[in-house]
Amino acid sequence: MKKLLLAVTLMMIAISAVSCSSGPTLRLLNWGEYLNDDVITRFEEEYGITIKQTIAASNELFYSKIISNTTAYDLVIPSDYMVEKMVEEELLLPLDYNQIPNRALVTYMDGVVEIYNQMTTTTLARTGHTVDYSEYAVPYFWGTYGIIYNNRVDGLEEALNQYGWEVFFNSTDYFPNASRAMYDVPQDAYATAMIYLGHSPNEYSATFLSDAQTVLEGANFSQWGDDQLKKDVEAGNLDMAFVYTGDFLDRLYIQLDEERTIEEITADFNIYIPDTTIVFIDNMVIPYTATNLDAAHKFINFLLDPEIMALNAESVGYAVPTNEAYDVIVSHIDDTDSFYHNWAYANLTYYNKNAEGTYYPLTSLPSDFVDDITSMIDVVKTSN
Amino acid sequence: MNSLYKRLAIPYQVWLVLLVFLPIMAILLIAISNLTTANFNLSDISFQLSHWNDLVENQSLVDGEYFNSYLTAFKNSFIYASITTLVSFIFGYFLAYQIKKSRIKNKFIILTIIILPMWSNLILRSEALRSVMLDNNIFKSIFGFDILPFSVGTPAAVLFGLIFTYMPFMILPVYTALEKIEVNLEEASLDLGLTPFKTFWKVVFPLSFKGVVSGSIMVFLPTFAGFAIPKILSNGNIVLIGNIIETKFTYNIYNVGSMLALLILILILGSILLLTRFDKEGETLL
Repeated sequence: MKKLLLAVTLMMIAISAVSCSSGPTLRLLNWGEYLNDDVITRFEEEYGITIKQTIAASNELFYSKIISNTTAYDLVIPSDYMVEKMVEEELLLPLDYNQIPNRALVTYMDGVVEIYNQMTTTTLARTGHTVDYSEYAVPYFWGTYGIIYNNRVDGLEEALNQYGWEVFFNSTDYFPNASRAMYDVPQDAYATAMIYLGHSPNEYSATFLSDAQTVLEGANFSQWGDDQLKKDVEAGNLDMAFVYTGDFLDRLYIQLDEERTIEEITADFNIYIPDTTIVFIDNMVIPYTATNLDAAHKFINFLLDPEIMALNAESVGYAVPTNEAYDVIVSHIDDTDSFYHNWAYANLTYYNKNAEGTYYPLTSLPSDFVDDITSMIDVVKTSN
Repeated sequence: MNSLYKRLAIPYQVWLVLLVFLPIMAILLIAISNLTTANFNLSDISFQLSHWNDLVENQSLVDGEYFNSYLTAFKNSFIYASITTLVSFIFGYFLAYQIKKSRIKNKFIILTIIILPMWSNLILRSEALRSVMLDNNIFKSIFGFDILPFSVGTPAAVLFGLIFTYMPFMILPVYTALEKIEVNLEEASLDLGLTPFKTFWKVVFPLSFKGVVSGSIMVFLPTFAGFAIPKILSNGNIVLIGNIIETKFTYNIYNVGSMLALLILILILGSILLLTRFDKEGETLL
């Protein structure tokens, strides 16, 4: 009994020690492994504000955590479609750009500007309201989707570069023996088929749905997966898969750590990013529950500093949204430290700011459409 | 002291009500109304069965034939669960019988070895199984040949994974039932002139049948409703009803997901009723 009492007392002490750190705090609702510890340290040193992170694994969880209001978060980092939904439901506060002076010192990359415009377009189509999303959101990271491919297959690279989506979806005319895989997210599968057909992936009708179904059946996918896809292509067990560009970079960096050169690695597997593809963007937004608005604005301002944004990108494999931070990263191209050199090379090659493309963020579709899409995908899976 | 025992039984009863009974009621409610968990507001509830049409209308034309993905998934679940149960029964029963017959003193050790795989996480085990079934796998690169003759994405791979995972659930109840059979009965049967073969079929097997029924239910139900093993070992290509329900809930399509879950619940209730016909005292469920 005495031991039990002691254990309970120790636990109480531990809990109170954790919860009674002094001074102002910033309650941040974030994705896992999405903020460099060095950035946290520098922010806390500079402003004397403690960052308390809560981790959630999906946009839907972000949403329900804000709605339930059990913890008053000051800053959240949801993706494109969730920002649309949150603005629509008036869950976000407009940003006070007077408190974000760094915004005037940086410019957003063309791709980012295009994504924000697309979000405005899809919102207008859905609700009839024109929303300027930069009033509520500052981009945090963004990234494209692409087709990771097995470069040990002769001619696949050239074919992808020349014919793009056609090679991936038309399994009758192109590489009939190659194995293909799709990300196991119904809306992503539908969106890629729509892009292949030359439509916007955010449009919806029964005709589009059945056309998309025909396309997806024609691709004859041998696999529907998520984190496995990149590893299967890397090991040569799969020839093409639709994934995040960040998925590819993840494997690339791991192999670089094993002292292989970029040439050796890309001779095994590489990624092709189509000119027209889907993208995601994660954004810093302030929910209506925020209590420390000052800290939230300071954090956004701090992250917009190109040096800090680049520092943050060191530990996260996605693209930075500002031209200035991108320039900081690629300035390391001649660095003798191989980590910095490879990092700059990867950004120049796979996230090049001058790459011309049409980028579609996916909007949040009404739930009966989503139901129809998931049913369609189930038919594609079960009918082969 | 008695009142203390009573009080100790309370936590699990509360647990059952809060985390089993109430959720089942919620599933029932969502399956037959317009409620969703995103909008669980009892004040504007209304009766709604329109999504039940999905069961018959959810079909599309594939290669000139009408095709219903729910029906196919139910069929898949039934076929995979039946084969798994049958194979687990055949191999599991005789393994249990062999353990019972063997002269090893410490049978506990053997049973421990049988449940040993369960000490590691189910997902981890399935992923490990998957990785040795790939075309280029670690085993092949070290020894030059495949350890398992199945390749990922085939029905055989899924069946192998299911049988490998659920066979212990057959062995344990069968072994318990076999252990309960008095040795005198077997001896009497042999003394009275039956051959060992006939003794097995006329004495031992009927007396252990309760174990087989309870083992079959413990294998059949999780296989029927499960989704993780088929998803991992079929590369997402073989869809069981559990996979469809998982997708529906992931993408917030609660009404259809609850409807399908309710159908499975009805099926489970049906098989428990079936069980009580074999076993009036409910012994095997203990």
